[in-house]
This record gives sequence, structure tokens and C-alpha cells, in this order.
Amino acid sequence: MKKSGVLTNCVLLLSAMIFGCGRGDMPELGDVYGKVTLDGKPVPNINILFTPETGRPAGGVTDEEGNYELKYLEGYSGSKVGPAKVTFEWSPGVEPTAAVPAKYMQEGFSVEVKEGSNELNFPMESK
Amino acid sequence: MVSTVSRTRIRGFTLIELLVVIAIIAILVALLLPAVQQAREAARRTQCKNNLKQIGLAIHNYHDVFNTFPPGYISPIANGNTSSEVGVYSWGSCILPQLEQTNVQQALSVGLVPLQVNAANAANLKILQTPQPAFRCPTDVGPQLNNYVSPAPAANWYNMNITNGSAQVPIATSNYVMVSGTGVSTTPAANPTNRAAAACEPMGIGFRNSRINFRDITDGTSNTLMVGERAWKYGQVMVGAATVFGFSASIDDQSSSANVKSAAMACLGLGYNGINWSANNLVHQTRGFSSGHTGGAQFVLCDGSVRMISENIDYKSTDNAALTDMTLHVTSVYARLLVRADGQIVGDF
Repeated sequence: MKKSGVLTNCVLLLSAMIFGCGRGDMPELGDVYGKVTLDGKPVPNINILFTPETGRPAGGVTDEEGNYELKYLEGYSGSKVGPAKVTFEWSPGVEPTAAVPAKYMQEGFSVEVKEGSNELNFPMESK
Repeated sequence: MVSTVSRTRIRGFTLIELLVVIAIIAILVALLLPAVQQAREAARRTQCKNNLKQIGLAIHNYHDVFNTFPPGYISPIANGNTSSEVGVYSWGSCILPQLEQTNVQQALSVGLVPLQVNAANAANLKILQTPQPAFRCPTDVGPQLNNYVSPAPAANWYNMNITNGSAQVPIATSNYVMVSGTGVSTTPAANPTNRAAAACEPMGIGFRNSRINFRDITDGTSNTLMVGERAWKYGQVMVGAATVFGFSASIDDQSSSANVKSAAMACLGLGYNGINWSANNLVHQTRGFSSGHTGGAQFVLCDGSVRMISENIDYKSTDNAALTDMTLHVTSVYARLLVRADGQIVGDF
């Protein structure tokens, strides 16, 4: 009984040391996912970029159904919590899959990323 | 009665005492195991820092001799960015004497004999393929000879091999690239001849035939990045590091609008979307700075100090800003550090 308690303590301490020494200045992140559509049709292969007021931007790319999931860093999903500006771009060398109007590409949307999980859809209209 | 019993009792360890001792030993061992791995990485990071320091000093010594920082790359053809520029020397070749590699520079006759001619000569190819430890980050997992070729959808856009006139050959890998500017596009950061407008002048330290002097760094040498790291791979993202000596502008139909622009990423780096970007654009992040260290990438600043810049540093993508006015691209702390004369206040970083 006593021995297993000591063992548990050791395992706890070990894991705290392995996982505890993480990235010092990581901001609070909120998971973000959703769908990008133009006139109701999904927009595949478009890059989506969330730029917070200060800090590092997060990005994602839509799949065939227009769904995206944001990634902050390799191994970290989500975007910095707080207000963010959402813009879109086509990767160089990628054929645009839809005629997304310039106003969405450049000015985009203003959103608020909250703690936890955020579903943010971006329905765009060509007119 | 009571006192006699306690006097006759044999002193020894109780079970509790024994368990406490075992627990303490277990904790000490547990402390040691992960600490050893941390210490190894700390040592590698320090060695990388030293490499950057040496490169910084070498560039300062180069400045003492030639009164300019070394050019980002030396492009002999006037109009630039053509596929006929098959052998281009980079800043790494220029500072070899300052890194005590004078013999290498003399054997290659840098500047007199074109790079592709050296690559075609068996003896000189051997020199080009000799690893240069001063240019390698010990944390990096890349091979000694850089054979990285970017996959689809930008196949061949970044090809770290050089050509010897008939075939592709890999040359010594480097993990250090010169700061060419901020932004995402290689135009005009790496190749100013592509844009004639004065507002389009490259904003970093190294670019095509650059001649940047200390005088030109009006933001202050302590506020401007000079050379930074690029990893071969971080996480699952391949970016292909860089080369020590130079690059070829065209190999196998290098599929860019202007060959030399993308090929120059073998020796230059851009802000791109921040350090260690991996969210999308899974090929073009070769343009940026990255490292295998935890939390950021190391840079040597123009004053010769080496800093670890956090990957969480403030950065705004300026993808959609016009390429005709580069001042529109300086909107974040990271960009202000990368640009030598933006006139903005950097603050803490």
C-alpha cells in the first residue's frame, strides 16, 4: 500500500517534469474550426489566417468540403484568445478553386476567439 | 519500568524510515533522467549560439576589410533572375576567410571561377561537399549534403542542389540564412531588380548584390536581425535548411516566375508568417526562419549579439499589402526587427 503510494508520487513527479517544462511564453489558445463557403458552396484549398491584435497568427487550410481547423504551431491547435482579423489567401502554385471577392481576401472578417472550442463559419457571397 | 524497556530496545530502521529513504532516492533518480536530456539540448543550443556569434564576428570583420556587409548573393547577370544563372555564390562563400576557411575560398577561387564550374571539377566538388561545422546547428537533423527538393504543389520551387552543367549535385548544408526582409513574397526582398520603384527597395541586410553598410542600419544595430536559423525539419514540417556556398538559379525547370528569387532562399530568409510557421502553405515556409530548438529560433543581430527570438513574437501577415510600397509590410515587432531602416520603435522583444 505504502510502496505503491511512493511509486505513484514518483510517476507524478516524473511526468510533471517532462510535461511541465513547456514553452514559457505561450498565450492562451482556443480551438477554432468551421466551414468556408461561397454562395453556399464549399471553398476547398484556401488558406485561412487568424491575426490577433498582438502576437503570432494562426492558420489553416480548407479540405474538399470547405472545413478548416486552425493550427497555432506544430503540435498546437487553435488561435490566440481575443479579437482576431480573419483573412484568406491562395498559396502560390495552388489553383484557386473559387472566385472569392477581393474584399473577403483582404479585409476579411473580425471575430472573437474564446477559450475552449469555437465553431466559426465564414459564409461569403460573390455579390 | 518504562525506561528500562526503552534502554534495552535494539536501535534499527523502521519500515517507514526505510520507505522514506527509498522514496528520496527514487525522486533523485527521477529528477536526473529528464534533466540529462534537457542538458543535452541546452548544450546543443549553446553551441548553435556560438556558431551564430562566430558568423556575426566574421561578418563584422568582413565589414572592416571591405566597408560593407557581404552581399546576400552575387549575381553576375545584369537583369537578374534568369535561368541562365546556374551558379551563384552566397554570403557564406564571402566570409570563409573570416571563419578561418581561407584555403577553401582560395581553392574554389570564389568570384573568379563560377560555382557550376567548381561543381564540375571533381577535386573542387569534394571541397563543396566537405561539411562546414561552423554553419551547422547541432540540434538540426538534416544531412551533411543538402539534397532537399520541395514537393508538390510547389515541386522544385526550392531545390537546394546545384547544377554542374549537366546534373544536380548536393553541396554542404548550412542552417544559417541572412535576413533579406519581412513579408511573404520573395519579390523584391531577395531580388530587387524585379521591381524598379524606389519604395520597393529590399529592407533587410542581404539580397541580390547587396552592399549594406553599418551606416544604412538606421534603426540601430541592436534592433536589427542579421543572420538567423533555418532547420532541415521541425516537427513534421520539412523546410530543407540552406547551403553554405551558393545555389543554382535553374535546375530542372525550377517552377517559379523568376528562378533566382526562390533559389535564393538557399541562403536568404524572410519573415514569412512568423518563426516555425506550419499551419498552411506547407511548401513555401522554406522562406521563413525555423529551428529545432524549443520555443523559437536564434538570430545574431547586427551588433553581434545572439538572441533567441520566441516563436510567439508579434507578427502580422501582410500577404495582401501592395508590393509597390514595402513600408506597408512593417506592422509588427518581428517585421521591425527584420527591417533595417523602418524608423519605427521596436520596444521589448
